[in-house]
Formats: sequence, C-alpha cells, structure tokens
Amino acid sequence: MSFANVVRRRLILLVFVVFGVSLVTFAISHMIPGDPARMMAGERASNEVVAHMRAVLGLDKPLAVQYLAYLRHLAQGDLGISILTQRPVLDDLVLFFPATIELAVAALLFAILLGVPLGVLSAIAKDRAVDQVTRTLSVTGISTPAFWLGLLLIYLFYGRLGIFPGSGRIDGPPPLHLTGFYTLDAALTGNWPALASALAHLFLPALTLGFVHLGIVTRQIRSAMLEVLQEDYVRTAKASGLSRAQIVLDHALRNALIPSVTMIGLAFGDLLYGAVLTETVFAWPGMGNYVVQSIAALDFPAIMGFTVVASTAYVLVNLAVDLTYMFLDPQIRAVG
Amino acid sequence: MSGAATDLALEVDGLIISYRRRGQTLRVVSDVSLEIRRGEAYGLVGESGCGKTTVAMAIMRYLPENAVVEAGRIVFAQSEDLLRASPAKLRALRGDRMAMVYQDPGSALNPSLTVGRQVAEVYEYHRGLSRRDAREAAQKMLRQVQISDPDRVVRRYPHELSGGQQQRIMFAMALATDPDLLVLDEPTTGLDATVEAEVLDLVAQLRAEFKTAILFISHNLGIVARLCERVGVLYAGRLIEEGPAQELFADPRHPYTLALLRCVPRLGMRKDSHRLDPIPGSLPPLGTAAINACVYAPRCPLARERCRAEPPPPYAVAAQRSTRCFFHEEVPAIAPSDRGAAQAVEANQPVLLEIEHLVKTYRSTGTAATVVADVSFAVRRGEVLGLVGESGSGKSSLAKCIVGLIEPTAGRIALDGATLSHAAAGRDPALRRELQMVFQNPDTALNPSHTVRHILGGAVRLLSGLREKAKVERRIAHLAASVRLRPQHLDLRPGALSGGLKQRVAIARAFAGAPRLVLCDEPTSALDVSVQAAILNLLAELQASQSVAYLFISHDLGVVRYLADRIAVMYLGEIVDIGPAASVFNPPHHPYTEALLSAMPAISEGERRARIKLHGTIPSPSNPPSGCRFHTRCPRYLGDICRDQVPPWQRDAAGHLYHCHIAPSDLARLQPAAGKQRTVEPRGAESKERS
Ligand SMILES: Nc1ncnc2c1ncn2[C@@H]1O[C@H](COP(=O)(O)OP(=O)(O)OP(=O)(O)O)[C@@H](O)[C@H]1O
Ligand code: SF4
Ligand code: SF4
Ligand SMILES: [Mg+2]
Repeated sequence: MSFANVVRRRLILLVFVVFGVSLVTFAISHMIPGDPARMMAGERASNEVVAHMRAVLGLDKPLAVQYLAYLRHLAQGDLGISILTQRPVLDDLVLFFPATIELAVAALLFAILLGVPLGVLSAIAKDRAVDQVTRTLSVTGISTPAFWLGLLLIYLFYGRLGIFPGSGRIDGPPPLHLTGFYTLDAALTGNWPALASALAHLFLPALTLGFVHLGIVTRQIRSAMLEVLQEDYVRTAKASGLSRAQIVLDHALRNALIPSVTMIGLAFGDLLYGAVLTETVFAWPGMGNYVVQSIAALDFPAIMGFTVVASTAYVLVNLAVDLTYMFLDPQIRAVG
Repeated sequence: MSGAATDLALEVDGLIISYRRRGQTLRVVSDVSLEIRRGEAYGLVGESGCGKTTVAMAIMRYLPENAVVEAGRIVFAQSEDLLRASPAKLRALRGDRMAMVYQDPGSALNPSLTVGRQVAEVYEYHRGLSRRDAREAAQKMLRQVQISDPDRVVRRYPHELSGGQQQRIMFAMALATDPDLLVLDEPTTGLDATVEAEVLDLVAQLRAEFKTAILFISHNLGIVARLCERVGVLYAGRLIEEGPAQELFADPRHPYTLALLRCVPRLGMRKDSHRLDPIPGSLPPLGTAAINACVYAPRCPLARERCRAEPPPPYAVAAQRSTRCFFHEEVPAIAPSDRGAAQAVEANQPVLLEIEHLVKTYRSTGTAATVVADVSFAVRRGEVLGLVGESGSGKSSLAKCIVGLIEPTAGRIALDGATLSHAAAGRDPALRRELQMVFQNPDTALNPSHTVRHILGGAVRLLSGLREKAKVERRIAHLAASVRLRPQHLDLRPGALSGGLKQRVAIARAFAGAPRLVLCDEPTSALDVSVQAAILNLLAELQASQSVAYLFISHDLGVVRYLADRIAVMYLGEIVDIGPAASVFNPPHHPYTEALLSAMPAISEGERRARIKLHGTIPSPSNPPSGCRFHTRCPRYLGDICRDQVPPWQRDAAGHLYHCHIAPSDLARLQPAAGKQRTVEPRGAESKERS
C-alpha cells in the first residue's frame, strides 16, 4: 500500500464521517426539547417575535430541508451563525480550536517524550526499583482525576511558589495571528516575550492533561518492549555482540514503537475530550468553554460546527497514525 | 590442517545444566564433555528435547534466565573459560570470535531494519568501520555467501527475502568477523530440500574458505554425516557416543545410535521388504532421566542389572571413539526386531482415483496464480502414490482439491469411475467417507478440548454410520488398537499426548469409516525419526490390511522412496515426472527429479549422489516461464527449444513418463545412478586436503 493510497482512502472516509456525524448531531439536536428561538428572543418575548426569530434562523422549515441547506452551506465552508455569539461559527472555531489543539499536542508531547524513555527503562530493569517506581507512577497517572491534579498544581506552582501562571493563555497582547497557536506564532514572528509567556501558561495545563497519558504511554511502551526483547532477532543482536544500548534503541525500540503508535494515536482522541475539563480548571480559552456554553444555549450551529470539525480532526489524527505506522513498519508498506 | 590435540577451538568439560521450573530443578544436560579442533566440524545429533540447543546456548553464554549451570567449564581457544568471563569480555567475543546461526532465519532477523544494515552493524561495532565502509564490507560479504544481486538485496527487509536468502544473511552476519567458532543450530530445518542442500553446500564452502571450527547441531543424521568430521550423539542430556562421522554411522557402538540409524529409511529399503525399527518407549520426561544408572536402560534391548545400578563411564572403543555403554561389544550383534514387513499390494488393481486436467487458479485483485496447472493422473486401489516437489509447487492445493477443501477451477475428479462434484458439500456422503485426509501438524488438526475418545467417537458416528453406543465403543477400541494407542490414552486430551501419539489419533480418525483413499500431507515431517518410523510402519500396515490407497505428500524423498509404489514429481503446478517408484528414482528421469534427488542428505557415502544445483528460486505461479516451465532453472537446459516449446511427454521402458525435450536414451547417458559417481562435494575436497 503506498502512502498516497492511504491518504486517498482516509480522505474519502472523511467525507462519509462528516456526513454521518453531521446527520446524527443534527437529528439529536432537533429531538431534544427546547426552543432556541424562544431562548434567543427571551422569556417574555411575544409569540410574533419568537415566530420571526424562528423564520430568521430558518427553523420554520421542514427538518429535511433544514438539513440539506446545512449541508449545502457546509460544502461551501459555511458553518452558519452562532445563535449565542451572533458571529460566524467558523470564526469562533478559528479563535478557540487552536487553543485546544495546542494544549492537547503539548500534553501528548510531554507524555511521549517522558513516557517512552520511562517505558524503555522500566522494561530493561524489569522488576527492579526503577521499574517499580515507574509502574507506580503510571498507575497513579492513569487513576488521578485531571481536575484534582490541576487544582493541586495551581495551588502549588501558582498559589504557593508563584512560578507559573494559573490561568489564561498569555499575558499581554497575543502574537500576530498566523496559525492561532500562540507558541508557534510567537516563535515564527520572533516575538520572544510572547513565546516565554505562552509557554509558561501552557506548562501547568499540559502537565495536568499529559499526566494521565504519561501513564498510558509508559505502560504501553513497557509491555511492547518486554515482548520485543523476547524475540529471536534480539537474541541474534545479542549473540552478535552488539552493545546493550544498540540492542535496546536500534533493534528493540524500533519494533516496540510499531504497536504503540496506534495506541498513542487513539489516546489523542481521548486527549481532546480530557482537554475540556482541564480548560475549565485553568480558564483556558479553548473549545471546552465554548462547547459547554453552546450546549446550554442549544446553539445548534455552534454544536454542529464543533462536531464536524472535531470529527475531521479525529480522522486526520488517524491518518497521521497510519502514515507513521507505515513509516515504521516495512511489512505494512509492502502489503497490497 | 594440523589437527593436533593441543590445537583446540573449543573445549567443553563436564557441563551440567538444569532448568528451574515451578520450584523444581530439572536437569537437562548431564556431564557433557567435547572438544572441537580448529577448522573442524563437529556434529551434535539427537532427538527433539535431548538438550542440543541448551548446549549451544551455554557455549554462547546465552541461556534462558531460568537455566542454571551447575558445573563444568567451557574453554574457548584454550584461554577463556566462558562460564567465568565478564559481560564486557563476552560481548567482545560474541559476534567477533564466536558466532551463531539459528534455526528459523525468519524470526532471527529484525523485521524493521534492512538486511544490509543488520550485516553492516556487525562491522561497525566489532571492526569500528564507518557507516560507509561497513556497508561496503557487508556487500562484499553478501557476495561471499552467494546471494544473487547483493547490491539490491542490501536494501531489502527480511520479509522480502526467501528462507534460503534469509539464512544466507544470517551466515553473512555470523561470518562478518571471520570467527574462530561457528555454532549452527539446525540451520536448515524448515527449509525446502533443495534450499537446504544449497545452504549446506555454502557451509561446506565457507569452511574451506574461512577455516572456522563448527559446532553443527541437527536431528538429521544424513546432514551431519555429510558435513561433519566428528559426531557426538546426545540422549536425554548425555553424550552417549562420539567418534568420526563415517565410522560411527557405519559401525555404531551404542544401542541408541544403532536404533536411531535403524529408524531411518535407507537406500534399498522398501515397505514390502524392510520393516522400520522404531525405538520402543519414549524419551524420559524432562528432569526424570536417571542419574545413577544408564539413561537408556528403560528402552535398551541389552539392559541388565548393572545398567540400572550405575551410570556407564565412557569406554574408548577405537581411536577417537568412545561410548557410554557397559556392553558396547554386543551392540553390533543386536538383531533388528523383525516383525515381518507389510505385504505388497498386488499389481494391476483397477483405478480408484482419476484426475483429469485439474486446474486451480487463485484470483486476487488484478492477478491470477495458477497453482495447479492441468494435472492428470490416476491412483489404483491399494496403491501409494508419492507426491514430491519444492514448497510452492502446488502439492497441498492439489490434495485439497481432491478432498473438496477447496474448489478446483476446472477439470474432473472421479472416484471408482463416478465424477465427484467440485464442492465437498455437493458430494455424496458415502463418497466423502471414502476420502480422508491426515495433516502435517496434528496439533492444529485435533480439537484440544475434546478427549481422544470423543474425537474418535465423533468420527465413527459420522464416517461409519454406527449409532448404537456399544458398537461405537467397540469400533473406537478397535481403531485405537490398530494405530497402537493404549486404552488409557482414550481418556486424555491431545495436549497430554506426544506428537507421535497425536498423529496416531489423527490417523485413527481418518480410518474411522472404511476409507478407500487417504491423502497424507507431510504426516511425519513434524516428528522425530524414531516416531516417524513407527508412523510409517503403521501406514504400511493399514494399507496392506485394509487395502487403502494413499496420496502421500512429503518433501522427504527417503520416506517417499520407502512407502510409495508410484511417485509423481510436481514443479510449478505441473506434474513433470511420474512412474513406478524405482524408475523415478533411477535414471533416466526428469532433470528436476535429478536435482531433487541430488539434494537428499544420505548417511553413507554409497547413497550419495552428485550435487546438481538449481539456479534461483521457484518462479511465481502468477507468471510462469514460457515453454518448459523449468527452463529458468534447469541444469540441462538445451537452449531456445526449452524456452519456446512446451516439451512432450517421454516414456521410458519401465513405463515411466516425464515432461522434457531430452529423449530417455540421451538422458540415460547424461545421468549417473546413485553412488556410481564420485560426489562433487567439498567434503571430498576436504579429505583430500587432509591426506
Ligand atoms: N527455558 C526453559 N525452561 C524450562 N525448560 C526448558 C527451557 N528451554 C528448554 N527446556 C526444556 O529442556 C529440554 C532440552 O531442550 P533443548 O531446547 O536444549 O533441546 P533440543 O535438543 O535443542 O531440542 P529440539 O531438537 O526440539 O530443538 C527440553 O525438554 C525443553 O523442553
Ligand atoms: S549401559 Fe546397559 S542399558 Fe545402557 S546402553 Fe549399554 S546395555 Fe543398554
Ligand atoms: S525441456 Fe529443457 S528445460 Fe525443460 S526440463 Fe527438459 S531440458 Fe530442462
Ligand atoms: Mg533445538
């Protein structure tokens, strides 16, 4: 299977996913009781006002017509106007989505950069002290509620020590908008004070969110390594007298990463959900707040927009996983 | 080579190794001592589980974690005691001065590194070469192990190479540093006979080039006889006999060695003239071998009081020869336990199975692979048709078409003149009963959660139509007795049985009805020789007593020669050679048959043939060569005629047909019979060099 083939397949899949997800969200959001037109117009508005509002929002048409209209707009990149903010949903998403992605990526990087070495260490020192400590750490990580850890970290690093900020994304004006990721934008424009501030703000939320995944990554790498270290080819490497580092890093880890990529990719999906909680604790202006408010206000266009974009992100993450997988595993590359 | 006793590459002295398992300490290697001189090839033979690999791993200092070396010394190059060497010292020795090649090259190579990288790594690490120099050195070494197209192969991943090529890569890695000692643990088991022969040729050539001492581990006596100067026979962790290979095999002085040799079907042995002589009983389970007695006593025909009271010391019976048997002088006189050979089936029986123009094509997106290409033959009642050929020649697909496990694409299959429908579901149940199959691996063929009684009972009800409980029970007992299962085995599950017993259950199941034709697909290739002998005897007896016919598929030509009445040779989906067993084995025969026979490992010089090498590997069935399908590899290739024209069937005087442009009279002149010609193999060269 060639890389191009995989990309093509995933993109075709994306169309179906977006269609399916939007259909389901559309159906559900119109089945739950509540009248957005009345909510917009206010409790005391007269029936005429509400009816007018309904017509403006297009809510008076049959459901199928509404859905088709939505799809038509969607195909043109128009996600509609948010009932709540009265701004195009797309603009809202462009504003909030990068914040969430930035947080999730930072958390994932933290989990991988620390988790892979810990997992390897734990596997080669199986049942020794390092392994015990690492295993305890990973169980703790997996079972610690994010909001609790977040509050603890805020109390410690912000409240007591005062070395990290406890809320928001940045102090002072944000860097020039290029990608919406503050750290990246600041680095690209050479705005060092903004970069420092963005990184400092990112630190605690990323640590909070990443801690759970650190446990998952460590555990996954450890068990994959233990399995691979039993393989005959590791025996060959040992019997040809290679150094321990070479055996572990070049021969074993490479093969242990192959099954781990899928695991870690799946975890990224969870990470997006986990971000919502973390954002609340750190007042991080991301999707989390936006979605919660939209749901409370029955803001259909916003909810639908979010769902469509989130599922697109999910498919793209899976594509990235597949490509990494193919890059690592020559046997997959050859098949088909 | 000097060969002085002081010039030792390896000395193992009084080695005792145990495995710890569930709190018990089980002894696997007991007091093994052996010496290998520089440049010498020493063969260690023995049945599965006797401790061969354990010895090899101990030498490489690479035992599993639960292994305990209780005593002994392993002295390398007359200086290091490996058992006391530091880890750093060991790392420097391993892969540099001593190297190992394993049984299964597929799993011994790292799947995610190119093979070039894996060979180059050894140079980088042990020779300190730069990445570039190492890559060049690796390419040069690949040329030395005779990989075709080494410049392309270096960039390949292991799964893109054939088994033979993978094993060559392993050899390249092992030889990269020109080691003093090479440990080969069953390096050809699992490879096709022709590939095996090539790898063995390679070992012999590399020996001449590199002058490396070799510890060659194998369960195959023929291979060891061909390749090694000296041999040690291991039984239940003890080295029971040792000596120069030819002498030891020609004149064994331990009852076990003798018994092992009598299990192997040799040249001139046929089911109707020679019964094979399996060893009664079985290996003692791990850790139960007697320490204060002769380990072989429970199975030995010469055993007496003394044998059960003290362990026999090594006796020097001739120059360089020793045996651990009190009564070694009596060994040559042990008579074969002749219980009479199976009766020959009368000739000229009516035809039972008829295959006409059978074709099987596997289709997948865009490609079509024709693995059985227009095959026709017949099997007579009570006849054994042996089917041989390299893996990928279509033997198993053909058998599966006949029993209806897969549907042929075209052609006719008839049993007793009645055409069988292609799908098993459309066949008359009575006909289905008459066709049974026995598979290579009894582990996967028997349901592990059922008792033997349950398995056989199900088959009896299904295949013989018996319903009444008492009758079914009687039939089960009868079946079990006919395959020599004991009544107590009936209540065990397959997991509790040895490989040989499991295969007996599988055979009993196939005979539950009254089959007329049993298709045996490599039924003994997963078994040890002594177990194989018993199964072959059993198959011969059942054939004679129930006049059942077999289509017997095997890559072991010795086994086929012993059991088959007629032989068909398949190449790339076609039958290229078919006829009475003796005439297929003797010239004139198809050039492919000739090459297959030359690859047969034989125990004695007299049985050996000149090695005929085939070029390359078997082509893909999705794109078979034009003209004669064998022309890309044929050592007797004539030129354009072979490439362009499909060869005709040629018939010789013995009623033997083959598919080739060369006429029988011409072929007869080209092809010498077995043993009539000096073998052109490096062992010959080696002994010349020594004299
Ligand atoms: N790690 C282990 N723990 C416990 N028992 C073991 C272990 N490895 C091997 N054994 C047992 O030790 C015995 C000797 O094993 P070994 O692999 O040395 O035999 P072998 O002669 O090489 O057999 P084969 O021909 O099947 O390769 C066998 O009974 C085997 O089941
Ligand atoms: S010592 Fe006794 S039991 Fe052992 S092999 Fe010799 S005769 Fe048989
Ligand atoms: S026809 Fe030609 S290529 Fe084919 S087997 Fe005969 S000699 Fe070889
Ligand atoms: Mg072994």
